Amino acid sequence: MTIWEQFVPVAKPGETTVVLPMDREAFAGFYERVARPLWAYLARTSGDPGLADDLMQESFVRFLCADTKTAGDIEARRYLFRIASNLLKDHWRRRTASSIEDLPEGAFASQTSAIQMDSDALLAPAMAKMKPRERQMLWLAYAEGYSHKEIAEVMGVGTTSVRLLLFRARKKMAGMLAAEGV
Amino acid sequence: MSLMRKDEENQILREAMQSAKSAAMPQARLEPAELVWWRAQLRKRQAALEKVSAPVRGVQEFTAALVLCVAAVVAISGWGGLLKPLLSTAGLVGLGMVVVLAGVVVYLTLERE
Repeated sequence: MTIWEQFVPVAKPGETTVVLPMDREAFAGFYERVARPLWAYLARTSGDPGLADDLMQESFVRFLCADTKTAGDIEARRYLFRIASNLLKDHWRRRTASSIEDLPEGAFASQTSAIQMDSDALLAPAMAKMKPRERQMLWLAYAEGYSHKEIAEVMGVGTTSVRLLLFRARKKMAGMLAAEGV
Repeated sequence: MSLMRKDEENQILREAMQSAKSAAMPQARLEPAELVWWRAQLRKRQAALEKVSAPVRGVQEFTAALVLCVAAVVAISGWGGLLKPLLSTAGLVGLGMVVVLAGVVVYLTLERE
């Protein structure tokens, strides 16, 4: 197994419907549609636009190298987000040499300020106070509109865990946003 | 009451996250899709080459190890005792065949893997 292969999720037998492998033109269209939302996900959950640039490119390269035949844009997109989530998780693990859950909530607060956006001036501080996994879940649920099952698939956790963790994260985040007057 | 609260929270979060997403997306500095595509092709080719060359590398390592073992045995047993039979034509041919056959077996095993 090569190094990049360990970050690429392995499809279970019968999980994907074989359609067509993505050729160069199809990839160009897919890239055009998905690259920016993926970058936004990586930038807002990591709080580091530079890291988001690197991880986004790497995600696409690994997506292509995996040669997975997916049943369309939606499935391919979910698969790509899964690769990106794995890369992000690995980055956090390497950085702290510990579990992602052990990271302090404000660990990325200083980096978050790197993204200067008027519209989320209130969201950024609240996001910085969340744990990385909570940010990922919230983003996937509310920015990407993914269901619990889809979030579980993207993040590689159980659906029940997603339901519980998302419930807590939603309470926490909504409380902070309400306190800031959103 | 609780359901209403949940709906409110969902609404607050959806609006905030969607707004953050809209603001973040234009900031992405995208490389051309072609470049990403070719980078992936190069990496795939590199991975394929590594896979193909793995059995050959295995044989090389095995042969090197075998030569070292023979050299060690010869050195330990002394030149006189073991070298005489090995230096005969039959001995050399036999040793050569053993090395070649062992290499082929290792190659086939690794290739199958």
